[in-house]
Amino acid sequence: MRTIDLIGMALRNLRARPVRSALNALGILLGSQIVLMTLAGTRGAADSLLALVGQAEGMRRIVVMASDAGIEPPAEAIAVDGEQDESRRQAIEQRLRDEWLSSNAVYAPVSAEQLAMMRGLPHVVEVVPERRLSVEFRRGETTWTTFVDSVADSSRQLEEQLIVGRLPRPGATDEVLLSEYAAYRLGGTTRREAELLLGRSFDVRFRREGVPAAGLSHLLYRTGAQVTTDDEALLAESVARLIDRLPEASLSESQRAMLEAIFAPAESESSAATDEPKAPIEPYFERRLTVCGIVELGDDAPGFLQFLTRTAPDVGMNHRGMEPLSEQAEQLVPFRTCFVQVDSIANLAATVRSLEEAGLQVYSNTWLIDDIDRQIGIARWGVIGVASIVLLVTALAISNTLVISVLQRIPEFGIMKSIGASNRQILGMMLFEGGCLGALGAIGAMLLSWPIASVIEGQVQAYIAYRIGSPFDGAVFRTEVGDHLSVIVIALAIGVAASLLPAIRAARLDPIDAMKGG
Amino acid sequence: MIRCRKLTKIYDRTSRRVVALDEVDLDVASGERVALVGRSGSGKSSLLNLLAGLDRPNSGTIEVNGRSLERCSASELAIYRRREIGIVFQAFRLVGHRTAFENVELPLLLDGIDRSERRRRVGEALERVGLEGRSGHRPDELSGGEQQRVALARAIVHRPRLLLADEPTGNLDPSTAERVLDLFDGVAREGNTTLFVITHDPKVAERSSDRLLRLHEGRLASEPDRSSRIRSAEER
Ligand SMILES: Nc1ncnc2c1ncn2[C@@H]1O[C@H](COP(=O)(O)OP(=O)(O)O)[C@@H](O)[C@H]1O
Ligand SMILES: [Mg+2]
Repeated sequence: MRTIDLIGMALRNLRARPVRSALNALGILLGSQIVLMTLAGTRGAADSLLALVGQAEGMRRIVVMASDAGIEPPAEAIAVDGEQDESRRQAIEQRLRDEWLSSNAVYAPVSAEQLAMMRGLPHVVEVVPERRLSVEFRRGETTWTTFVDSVADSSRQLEEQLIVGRLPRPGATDEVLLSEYAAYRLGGTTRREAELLLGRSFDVRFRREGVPAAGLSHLLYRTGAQVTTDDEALLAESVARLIDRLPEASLSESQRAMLEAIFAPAESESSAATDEPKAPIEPYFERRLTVCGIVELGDDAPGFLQFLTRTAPDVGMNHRGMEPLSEQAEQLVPFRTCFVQVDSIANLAATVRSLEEAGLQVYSNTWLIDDIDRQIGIARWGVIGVASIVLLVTALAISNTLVISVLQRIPEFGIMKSIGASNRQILGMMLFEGGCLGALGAIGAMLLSWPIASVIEGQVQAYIAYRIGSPFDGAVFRTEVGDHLSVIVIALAIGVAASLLPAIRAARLDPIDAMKGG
Repeated sequence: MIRCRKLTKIYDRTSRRVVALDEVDLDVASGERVALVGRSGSGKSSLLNLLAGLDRPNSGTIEVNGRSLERCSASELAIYRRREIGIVFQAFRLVGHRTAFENVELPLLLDGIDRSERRRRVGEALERVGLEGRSGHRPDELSGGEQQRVALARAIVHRPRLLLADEPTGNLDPSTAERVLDLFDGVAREGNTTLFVITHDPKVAERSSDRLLRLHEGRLASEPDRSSRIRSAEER
């Protein structure tokens, strides 16, 4: 018998019992629909979740630090005592090294070349060096010492926190953004008074920051001491003077190196490289700054890029505007941290890889994205498991109705056999009927998935938009060609599997008995 | 054409053991038209089913067209039924949801004949039984006689060498039966088809056969008073 005739006969037989065939096809349709929607839905959910997560600037932000490569802890600091097996020894040594590096804060500053390289990477929207300058606001008799931090141009979240005014213009060197607290300190006691600060100018002295004497500060912090900013500044000044005048002291080379490693580790290399004594450092310079905006004092002030800093920043300045100022203070304030803002969450991992390949130390949220992918993957398998059970039940139900159908068709099978249908032909006919049911179900499922998906998508998007308070057009369903293929395969498999037992039953019928009606 | 030796069929399924055919010897020449009569339960259908390869004997040999049916596999028997014989039953046995055309087409479909050839042959067969105008009708839209003519068309559409009929007129009124039997006769003569008809109507048997056989409790006996009518096929 020809395959085409077999299919024709199967379709003809299905058409002879339209209601039952339709119900069976519907069963397969529902089963396949669930599988298709599951595959498409979980993939779409992953996309949406990532899109949602990716809307947060912080998720697309990579923290970059210049590598500490080349700055080696002294051998005695990482010497491992006692007999150890090799892997254990290495693990302990690595920890000792990490510990020494973190407590001695010997991270190299990010170089200008590295900065240029990062800015040249594709998908990088903005590279913001985390510069932090110590400033002194003078208001009448009193002064208020605080920090000025870099503000990114792409800081949309910060913009949303604006109470009044706007963000500093790109490149502006005389505009500052105040936190509500800063506004309070500068005389804006009530919110209305704070708003009056907009457009006001202040004379500000940029001060040398206390942090570079990291070793010394750490020593103090580790004893539990409270160190004020003023103290830090004083200490820094003293240390700088000490370092500057070290060549004058009658110290051996190693003694001098040790002191430098403690008090100015980051600068020890450059001062070692150039034997000439440094020019005296100008600790202060002055500017007149105008308040361009005031932001709400939130739990976090994300745009101020306080990602790794201890204290919440209070005054922001555009990071490009800060560049020339920092240059003046560079020897005092080498910046060690950068923020790389990536255009889309999809390009995060690739950018992280490029940065790592360039030898930079990188901290990012790729782990969270991996985590989302993994969780969605687990969820997908869970739903597919449920769908499989649905499919199994469907197959059993269809098998059952097909068995009943065989019982009703016994005379027909008897006739077919009496006029020369072999057992295999009967089996084939039945399996083809099952296959055709499966194909019909699969086609129906695929056709139906369009309207169903668009309705659900509309609902879900509306709901998400309502929840996040901004329009959301992320995908809820996303299908790949493979999904449709697997649905076809699954539906055909159900149809054929469900008809297998009934088919065997029909094939084994005795023709004479069958003709008489079983 | 047909050659049976010591053909025995015993039904032992139930507690009752029935010897339906008891060492039957039967020879039918090619092109011969044979009628088989006998009381109900005498084993006529059992014999026909064995000849049709629908059932297997308990012992003895059954040879049709040089093929030993008792030694054939199930699939060989299916091919035998599909190609070499045509069967007509008392109860028509048409597939209810298929039209006359589709019913007649079935043997050709099973044999993998292509579409245009099928169409041609089905047309011919339906024309032969005078139902060319009813090809699109389903069995429930046809009279008993018409249904049996469709069944006949289905039995001859693949031009079998042997046409078997089990009381083909049993469900028909006398005048319709007459027409149907005429058709059987004509078909058998035209195609030089061997005809083996079961009937319990002696008049029918006499009219449309070269030879009359009588089964009695599973044993075969030629009807003595009809022996004068027996002519061999070669004489014709
Ligand atoms: N499938 C069967 N199982 C048991 N007994 C049967 C079966 N078919 C026929 N018989 C018995 O075999 C005998 C012959 O039956 P059958 O060949 O149908 O007779 P006929 O066709 O001459 O009426 C009868 O006694 C009948 O009851
Ligand atoms: Mg009978």
